[in-house]
Amino acid sequence: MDEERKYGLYSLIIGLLCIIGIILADGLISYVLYVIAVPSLLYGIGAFIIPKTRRKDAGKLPFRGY
Amino acid sequence: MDTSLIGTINLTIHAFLVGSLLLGLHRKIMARIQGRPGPPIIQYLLHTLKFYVKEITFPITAGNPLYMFVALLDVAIWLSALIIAVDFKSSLLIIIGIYVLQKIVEHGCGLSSGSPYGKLGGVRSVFSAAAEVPLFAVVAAVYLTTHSVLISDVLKYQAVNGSLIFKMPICAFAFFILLVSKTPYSPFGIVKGKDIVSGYMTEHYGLLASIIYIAEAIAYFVLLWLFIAVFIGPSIINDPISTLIAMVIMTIILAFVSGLTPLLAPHHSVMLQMTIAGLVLCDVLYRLIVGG
Repeated sequence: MDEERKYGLYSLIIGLLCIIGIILADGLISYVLYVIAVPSLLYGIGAFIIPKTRRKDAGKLPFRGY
Repeated sequence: MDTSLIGTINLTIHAFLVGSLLLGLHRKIMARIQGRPGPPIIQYLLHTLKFYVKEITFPITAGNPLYMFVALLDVAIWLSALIIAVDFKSSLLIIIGIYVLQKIVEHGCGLSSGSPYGKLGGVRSVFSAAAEVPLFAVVAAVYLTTHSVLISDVLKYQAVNGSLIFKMPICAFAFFILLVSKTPYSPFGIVKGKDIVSGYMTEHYGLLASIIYIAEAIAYFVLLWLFIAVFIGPSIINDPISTLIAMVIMTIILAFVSGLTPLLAPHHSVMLQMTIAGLVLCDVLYRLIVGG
């Protein structure tokens, strides 16, 4: 698994846990969980939609000493 | 589950869409002022959606996971600002705290990429923190006048005593300059100046850029809402249609400012912001001596 999808999976897990928390919790804590859930899900879902990188050595940009 | 959270979800989508369209309108008006046709008004929204499905890379010099985390933090802090300001109508001091966190995001975003342009953007972001000094002074002046820093109390005060923009025009001007600093292509936009490519966002593209665009659309909405709520009052802010009209008018004014002024040099930008801060501090001192 490449690096972006690895972090995406972590984010997705955090986001889904927060959603479960929102369903169970009440009051101010549900807003805190909402604030964590939205960016986590945005990246988590996005990381699995974006195409796989076509570069052989991910992260090694050619213009920076590679 | 707290049912009031559904209202917050609606508000988030509303803030993102309105913020995106207003930023698109801002760019369109700027282009027309400069004699260009300009992109369509939905261009900002299209950019956000397009970049959401584009590949990302982590540069070899990037500090992970900070490189990725700052983009998510950006959304989290402006969502917090949206909930605290628009939903709860809570304290202005928390909003200042959130605005300071935004600086951490810009700094972290620039430095974590390891790109020299990003680093320069991050450094410029830190010393453009001069824009926050007027914000502190504005909150102090608002407190001296209304005896509260809660947005709900400021709105109640204005319902009885009329808009604060007529009582404290210097503070309103200072807050307006803060809005100008936050607007893209503004004379104070040294953080993302084209001389340093895109500043702290130089290396963040694809999905990460899209996430930062979402945060910026929400930020634009929150800042406009705050200006209207704190200085114009409940007569406008209690009606969504009139709020939207006020936001469009504000965007047109901001677009004229951005379209007709050149980008200031970093030291000039900071100097001007500090001068405005000094002006507001004089206003605060006067209010302290006179008593509100």
